[in-house]
Amino acid sequence: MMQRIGLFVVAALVGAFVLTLSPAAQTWAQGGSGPLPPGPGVELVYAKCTQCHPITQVAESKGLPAFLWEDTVGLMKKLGMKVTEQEQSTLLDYLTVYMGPNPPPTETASETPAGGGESTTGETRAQASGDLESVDGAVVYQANCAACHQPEGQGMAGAFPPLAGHAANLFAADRDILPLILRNGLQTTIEVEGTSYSGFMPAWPTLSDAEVAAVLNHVLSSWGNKEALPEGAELYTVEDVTGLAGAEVDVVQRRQQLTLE
Amino acid sequence: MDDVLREAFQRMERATLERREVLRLMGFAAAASAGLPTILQYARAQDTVAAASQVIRGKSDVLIVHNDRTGVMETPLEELRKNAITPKEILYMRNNQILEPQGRSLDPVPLEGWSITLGGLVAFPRTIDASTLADLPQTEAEMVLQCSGNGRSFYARAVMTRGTQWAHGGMGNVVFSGVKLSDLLDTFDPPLDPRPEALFVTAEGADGPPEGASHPDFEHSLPVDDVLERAILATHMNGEPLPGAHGGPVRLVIPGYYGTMNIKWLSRLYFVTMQTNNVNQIPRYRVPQDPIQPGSPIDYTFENSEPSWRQRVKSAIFAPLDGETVNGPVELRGVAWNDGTVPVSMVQVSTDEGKTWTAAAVDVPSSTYAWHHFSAQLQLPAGDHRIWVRAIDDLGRSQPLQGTVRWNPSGYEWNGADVITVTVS
Repeated sequence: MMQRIGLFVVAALVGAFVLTLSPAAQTWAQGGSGPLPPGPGVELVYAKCTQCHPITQVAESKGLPAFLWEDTVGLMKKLGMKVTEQEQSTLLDYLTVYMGPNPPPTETASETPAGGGESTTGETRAQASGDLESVDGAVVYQANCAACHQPEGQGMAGAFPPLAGHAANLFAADRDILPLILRNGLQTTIEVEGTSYSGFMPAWPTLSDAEVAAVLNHVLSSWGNKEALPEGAELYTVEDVTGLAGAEVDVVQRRQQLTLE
Repeated sequence: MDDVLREAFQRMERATLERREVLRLMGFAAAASAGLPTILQYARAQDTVAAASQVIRGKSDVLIVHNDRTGVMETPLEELRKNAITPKEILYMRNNQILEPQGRSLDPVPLEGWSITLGGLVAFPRTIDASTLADLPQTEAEMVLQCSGNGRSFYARAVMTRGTQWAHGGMGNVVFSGVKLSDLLDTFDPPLDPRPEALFVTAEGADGPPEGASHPDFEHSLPVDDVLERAILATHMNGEPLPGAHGGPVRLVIPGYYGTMNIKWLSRLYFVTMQTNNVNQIPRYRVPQDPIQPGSPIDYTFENSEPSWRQRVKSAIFAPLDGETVNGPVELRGVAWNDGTVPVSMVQVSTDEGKTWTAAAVDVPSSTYAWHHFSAQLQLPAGDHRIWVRAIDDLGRSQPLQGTVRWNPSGYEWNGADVITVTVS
């Protein structure tokens, strides 16, 4: 009798009504921090929390004592939030400082150039998990990708393209396109085997280069992708991903020009 | 369009369809319902929240949306005070989970085909079709429906607490009607008598946790005596079929209890010896047995805490609004209520920070569970004034002047004396 209705269904049903980015979301997309004060880890808060509730619900809790933020993160894990230990400490570092009862003055916080705090976090995280061997791509996938692309990479018609099979085709057509999409996001309508997909694919600055490589290698080794890879295909190294940092590429155009098998 | 939604839902009910297919259908249905092309914009891109009518079809956009995913919305006081019976369009909502798609709309849901299981410590468990409820004697209760977190934001006067920062608008005064649970049990042959060792009833709705969540489904346990004395299997609200968004076709309603205990989309009632250890019974939706220092943690056990069952005595000032400027005498009015065990016959007003109190006039409502309207005319000199109000029920239970003495980490059950500041010009 019990219906296990997916988080992503809820998100998609609500999302269906939202056709354009709000001005605040556009600010966010341009590197601002929306309703939350800027600080290291803010974008991870955004990425994790808004999978189930709007960011405004975090914003309205500004001033919670540290132990209640710890409690809250613990409760959210019980309610389904997936985080690695490292992500959890990044979340708590941000929430207890910037959303606690005594946050640093905004002037100090805004002295950090927009995105500056974020890249610091990114560097720290990349260093901490710079070794590809130490990252489990399957864990990264379930924590960050599965909500939209589905646990088995099957995607969701109309919104999120399948990765099963499709990822191998993308790889075969353009070896750099997958890491470029993860680094830059892809906000456009694409067609995959006659079905169009228009969901919002954000950029993933919260993932280290090693995590990007690991999660892509996981995808390319799963759900029929492995068999569909071109012969002698080499999976990603951390250096492959690092080498694409800051590349001036129009990812939308590059993706649309691909001819897929 | 409704047909598309219904089809998707029925297919899920039968669970004969691959999940992927259901998602596809529901995605299309949702887009169709908004009259939009099938473009799904992932909600992550949102910095702001969707309007109430976009979250729940039929809701008024005057509502303050706290959570636009599951549907958490608050009624502003200036809207709430307009009606003695709160219309469904502006009634607050608080969902932990939502039953798609019927929970997304104020439309009624057919009783036929909806089954409810009654089991546990009974001689003969039963499953009924909800349509049988229509043929049984009907019971009606005008009552306050209030979120256990209503007023949570006021705890920040001491230390902020965790959760949606409700002001006074997480409540409404509605009329539920349907079949009293005890009447239903008596209709069975042999009667469905709970065994004496059944001390609680665990109730569950047909809604489920998010996909992949490791926690169990939402459910609550309630004391069996109150359930047998009060509970209604509600099929109507305010004289109309119960909207899907408010738990239709059948909601377990226990007049006098906090909102969360009134299980929506009722599917299962189990008579049991012990409270469930579901996360929503413990540590959520509980308050400490004894006061704790504001800002200090508590590790909840069944012994040191109690569930948010019966509502505490409480009042809310409807007029003037906090911060309003008033010309001439102050026409004070508002509502008081409690758990309905006895009436709330006394409401007192203080304009000197609680040193002296005068009685307001209190109306006698149709039911002890309903809002008790109060009013008073205050002659105050020009200038700023703080006006305090506290209710006292016929058992002598009242509201603390400093509501923060009941501080608890999740900010449940706020019932501090209400206070507003007005400027008399």
